[in-house]
Amino acid sequence: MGKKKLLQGIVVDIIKTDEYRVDEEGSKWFKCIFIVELTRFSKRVREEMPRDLKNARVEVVRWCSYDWHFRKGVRITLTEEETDRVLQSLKSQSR
Amino acid sequence: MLYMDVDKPDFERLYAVLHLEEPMDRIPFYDLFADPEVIEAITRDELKLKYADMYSVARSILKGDSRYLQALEHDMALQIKFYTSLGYDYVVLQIPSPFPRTNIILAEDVAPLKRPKRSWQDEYRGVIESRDDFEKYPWPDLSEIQDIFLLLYNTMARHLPENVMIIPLTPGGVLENVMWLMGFVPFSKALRRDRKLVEDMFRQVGKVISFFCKISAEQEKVGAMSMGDDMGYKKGPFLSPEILRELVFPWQRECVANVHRYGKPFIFHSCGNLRIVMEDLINYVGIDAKHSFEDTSYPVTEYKELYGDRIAILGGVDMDKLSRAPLDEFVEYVKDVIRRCAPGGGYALGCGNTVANYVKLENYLAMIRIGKKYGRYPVKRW
Repeated sequence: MGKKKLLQGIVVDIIKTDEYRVDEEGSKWFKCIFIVELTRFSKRVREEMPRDLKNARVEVVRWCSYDWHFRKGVRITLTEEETDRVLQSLKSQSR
Repeated sequence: MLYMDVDKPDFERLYAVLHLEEPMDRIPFYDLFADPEVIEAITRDELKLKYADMYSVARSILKGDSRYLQALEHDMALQIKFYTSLGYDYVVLQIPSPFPRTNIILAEDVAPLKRPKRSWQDEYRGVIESRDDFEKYPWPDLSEIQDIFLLLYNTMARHLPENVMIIPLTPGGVLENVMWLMGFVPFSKALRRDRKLVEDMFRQVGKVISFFCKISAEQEKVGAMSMGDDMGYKKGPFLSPEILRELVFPWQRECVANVHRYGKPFIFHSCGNLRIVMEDLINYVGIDAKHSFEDTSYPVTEYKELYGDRIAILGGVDMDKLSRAPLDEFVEYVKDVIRRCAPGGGYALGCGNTVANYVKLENYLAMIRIGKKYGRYPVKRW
C-alpha cells in the first residue's frame, strides 16, 4: 500500500487477439488491447491529472477470460509502470 | 501456465478497492463482522469469550485479573484464522461498547447456528429518557476507553500475519447509540419535547465514537476504519433529512475526519434505503465506502451504478438469498452480482449485512469460492 500515482480512464474499446494462455484451472485468458481514455489519477493521491492528458487515449494490454472482463465504458486503472510510461511520454513531448 | 495465489490475504487488494481501483488479482471480500457461531463452525474451534461483556473483561484484565488473558489471546488468534483462511485481507476488531444499558429483550434464537438467546432492542424503554437519567448515567471515561481499546488492539496485532491489516469497528454508530440508550419511542418524543436533551445525547455519544475513530486510525496496523450506524427502513431513513443534517451528520463527519487525518479510508455501514441522503454522506460526511444493501429495496447493483464513481461499494449479496436460496440458484445470483459490480474495481464481495448465524454456511462458502474464481480481474502482466 502506498501513495503510488495511478492513472485511471474509461475503456472505450477492446481488441481481442487470438493469443491466449491457460490458467491452473484450465481457463483460457485471451490477450486483449484495451483502448483507454484517460480521466484522472486514482483517489490514492489527491492530485489533478495533467491537463494535457485529459481525454488522451492510450493502449494497454490485459488478459481476459470471463464475460465481464470485456465490458466497455467502465473505469480502468493503469499499473504503476503504465502510468509512468504515459507520464514520461508526456514529459518528452513537452521538451 | 498462470498461477494466481488468490487464497493469500493481502490488504493491498482491499486498499485498492477503497480507492476506487481494480485490485491486483481478484475481487476482495468485505464483511462488517461475522457472528461467533459462524467463526466457530468454520474454524471448528470454540471462542471462549463469545458471550462475555468484552468491555468488562478488558477492564478486569487492566486491573490485573489475568484469568481472561489466555482466553482473549486464543479468541483473537481464532478470529484471525477465520478471516485469513477464507481469504479476507483484514481482520475485524469489534470494539466493545462502553455504554451499558438494560433496555434489551431476550428471545429464543431460531437461527440454524443458534445462540442461547437472541437480544433485541426494547424500543419503548430507554435507560436515558429524562435530564435526570442523563445526569446519572455512567458516561465512559475517555482514558479508560483508550486503555481498553489498546489492550484489544495490541493483542490482535501480535497475532496478525504479514500483509493483513486490522479494521476496527466502532461499537455502534452515533445515531444508533443515542437511539439504543433512549429507546426509539422515547427518543422520538424527546425530539419534540426536549430537543436540548437529544442534542446533549448526540454530543456525549458523538464525542466517544469519534474518539474511537481517532485512536483506531492512529495505529500502525489499522488499514481502514468502519462504523455501523443503521439509519433507515426499506423505504427511507428513520428521521427526516433535516434532523439527520442537524444532529447526526456533523458527528459522523467528525468521525470520518478523525480517520482521514491519518490518511486512512472510512467504511460506512448503514442499513436502510438512504438514497435521499446519499449526497450528504458522500459530500458532507465524506465516507469512502458504503456497506449494507438489500435487493428488495436498495440493491447493491443499483448503488454501484449510481455512486460507484465516487465511493467504493462493499458487499451486497442479499441476506435472504444467502439464508434461503437453493445453492444452484445462489451461485448464478452471486455471479450476476460480480458481473455487474466488479467491472472498474471499487467493489468488494460480501454479505449484504453481516455473516450472521442465520445464513446458510453452504451458500456463504459458495460466495467465497465464486469470488476467488469468477472474481478474478483481467491479468495485467503474464
